[in-house]
Amino acid sequence: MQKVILRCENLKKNFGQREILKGVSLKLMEGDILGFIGPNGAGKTTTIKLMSGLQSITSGKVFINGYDIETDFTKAIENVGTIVESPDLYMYMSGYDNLKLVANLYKNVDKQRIDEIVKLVGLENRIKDKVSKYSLGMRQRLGIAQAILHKPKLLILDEPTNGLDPEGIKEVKTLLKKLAKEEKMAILISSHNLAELDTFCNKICIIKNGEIVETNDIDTFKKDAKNNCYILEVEDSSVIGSIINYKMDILTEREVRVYIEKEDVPLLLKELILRNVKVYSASEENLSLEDAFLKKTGGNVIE
Amino acid sequence: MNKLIKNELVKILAKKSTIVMAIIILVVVIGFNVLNKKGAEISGSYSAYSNSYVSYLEEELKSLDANNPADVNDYVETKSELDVAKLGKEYTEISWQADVIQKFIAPVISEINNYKYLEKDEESLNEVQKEYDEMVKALSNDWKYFANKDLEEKNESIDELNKMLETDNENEDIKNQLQNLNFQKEVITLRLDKDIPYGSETYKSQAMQNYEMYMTNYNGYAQEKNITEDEKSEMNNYLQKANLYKYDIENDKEYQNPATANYTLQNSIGTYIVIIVLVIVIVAGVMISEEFNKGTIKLLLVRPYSRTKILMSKLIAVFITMFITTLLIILLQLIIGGFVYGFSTYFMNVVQFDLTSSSIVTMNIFAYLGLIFVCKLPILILIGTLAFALSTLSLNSPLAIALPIFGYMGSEMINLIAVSYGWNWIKYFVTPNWDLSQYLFGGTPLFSNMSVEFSITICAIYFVIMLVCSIITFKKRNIKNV
Repeated sequence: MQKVILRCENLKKNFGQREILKGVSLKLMEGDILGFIGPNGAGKTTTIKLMSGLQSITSGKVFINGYDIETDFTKAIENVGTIVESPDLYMYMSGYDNLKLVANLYKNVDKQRIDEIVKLVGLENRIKDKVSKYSLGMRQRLGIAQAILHKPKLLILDEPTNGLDPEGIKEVKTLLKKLAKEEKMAILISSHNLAELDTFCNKICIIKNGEIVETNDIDTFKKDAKNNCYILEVEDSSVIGSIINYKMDILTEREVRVYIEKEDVPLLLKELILRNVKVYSASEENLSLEDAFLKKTGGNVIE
Repeated sequence: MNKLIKNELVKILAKKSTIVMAIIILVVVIGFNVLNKKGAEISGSYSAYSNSYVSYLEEELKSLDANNPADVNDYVETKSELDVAKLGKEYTEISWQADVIQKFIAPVISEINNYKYLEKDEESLNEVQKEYDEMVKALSNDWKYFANKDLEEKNESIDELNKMLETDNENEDIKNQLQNLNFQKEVITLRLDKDIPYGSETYKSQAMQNYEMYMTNYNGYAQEKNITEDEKSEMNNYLQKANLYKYDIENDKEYQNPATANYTLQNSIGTYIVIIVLVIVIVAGVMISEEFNKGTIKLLLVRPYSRTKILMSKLIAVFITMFITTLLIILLQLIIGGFVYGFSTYFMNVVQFDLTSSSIVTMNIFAYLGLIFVCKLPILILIGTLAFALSTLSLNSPLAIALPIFGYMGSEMINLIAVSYGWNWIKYFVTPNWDLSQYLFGGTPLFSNMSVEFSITICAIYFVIMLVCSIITFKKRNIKNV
């Protein structure tokens, strides 16, 4: 049985009269990587702040490893590593000193562990430099380093790939996958960059206007979002419309998108061939996560 | 929580501004010692009268006519001043001669000019002229001539007054005058006895001068019938100082000599307290606000410690910084003072006059410094906590630094105004209470009905109020979305 690491129950947050969160519920098992996505102003960062005790909860509960974040703060937060908003570090100190400050506050972190983590995030050549001399990408890596230093059970990362180059993004992804697999960390990642989450999250949670729109496994999510589209490559796309009576869009001179059930595809092809239409190829259109997301949220309206 | 405090100290030490402040402290301590020594040297090398002053007086005199009845008074006055100046410009300001000329020869000169131009009394003039010639002769090497002469005069006056008192033994004025004369006689006897010349060339002479001045001031207050509270505390202050100088004269010591390493060290906390206050306010004022403004507070708040503990460890780090700063300043003064003035005086004790027992008490210099530090601690703690609380409440570093500094600068003023207007209620405010050194050695507090216990209680109440406000705000504070 997998253990539940994070459980949010009907989380609400008001700023004055405005409702920022209108009852957010989440569940995260060990080893899960949850992509927490939503448009700007949907309440992602607020949810993360409530989870890590940085803001007071109007109503609802957050349990981390079974401890209530409000009543059992120290025990709950002990299991959390986090970057909120941006990796805010002490600029006037070296990266290593920053990590040492964090290490001092936990019992199980020694020098060896620091060195190990520094290597893991690939900062070993620059770790003695002042953070003010770091690039944004290096700060991001250091931010991840300080978050995972004490082997937390739950890692909450607010846009961790911000400012990283494609190589860096790939490395971070590999790293996070490894952490989830080997250390059984539960990881919650908020991001705008949906393409990134595509390949490496196993769960996805969409938030819009302070409400969870959908929580699901990423594969189910993508399957659900399928809308049976096929792309046909033909000699002349303009003539197709008069031949078939399925819903269709003409994409280019040679390409059309046809909305059709899978079982009906052979029938369509047969008919086209009978009518002497040259068909070069027919393929299923792949719906990206981004399209699925836009379809789900339909764009965000900031209330 | 120890680890939290340690982290805070590491952060303070890693800042560039810490090094800047340490350098400033070093420069100030060196500057103070060097200037203090140089100042003492320079003031001794000039005469009170310059050549240009003499020629100015000569010009002035030419424009006046001794035979014109309208001018004659001014003429006598200017002529006397000129004669004194001519005689005095040969000697430095601090020499015994300059002092003697002012005290004894100047009156004789004006007498001479008086007889010569105003009264035209030949007989008296000759008599005074003879006296003057004798004095000028003694001016070359015999200060005791003047002292003995002064003593004779004092004795005569005392006899006279005693006779008057026999007929009128209720007259307070005569009694007071007699008391003053007896004191002056005592000073002259002491001077002759200890062989201390007039002027202020040596420390001994300065001590004699100061003893006479403070004791005269004290007697002045003591003879008054009704005196106010602050006059009383001033009077006690004079008595303390007078007795300390007297102790040095009688025992051939130099405890009160300001140009020694010992004296500068024993007063170092008082001298440099402004710097300690500045350091503590700057450190405390940015403690919370900076972390909020730069976002690094998030790094701290997601650790397994309660917010109260985080806040308290920051405050304790501020106090530790203050303690280290004080130690650093004392250490620097110890070393630099030693190099500037010589290390030998460090083996001397500190001498204080206790008003309750009316006796001299001696103390080890480091014990004394510790005592003074403890007495000044409420100032440092309260100012530091104020800056810290403002930093927590407003998250505005400039405000949290500026306000406590103005408060500290203005505290003396507040006390002064309150005392002069007799606002008794101000004793429930911090500023009259936070300097416990006012109670040391039998000193009188700012308001007569204050006591050490009272002052400590008032300070503690203000401290707790500021602390509770900070804790409540800090615990409730949401980390805003950027």
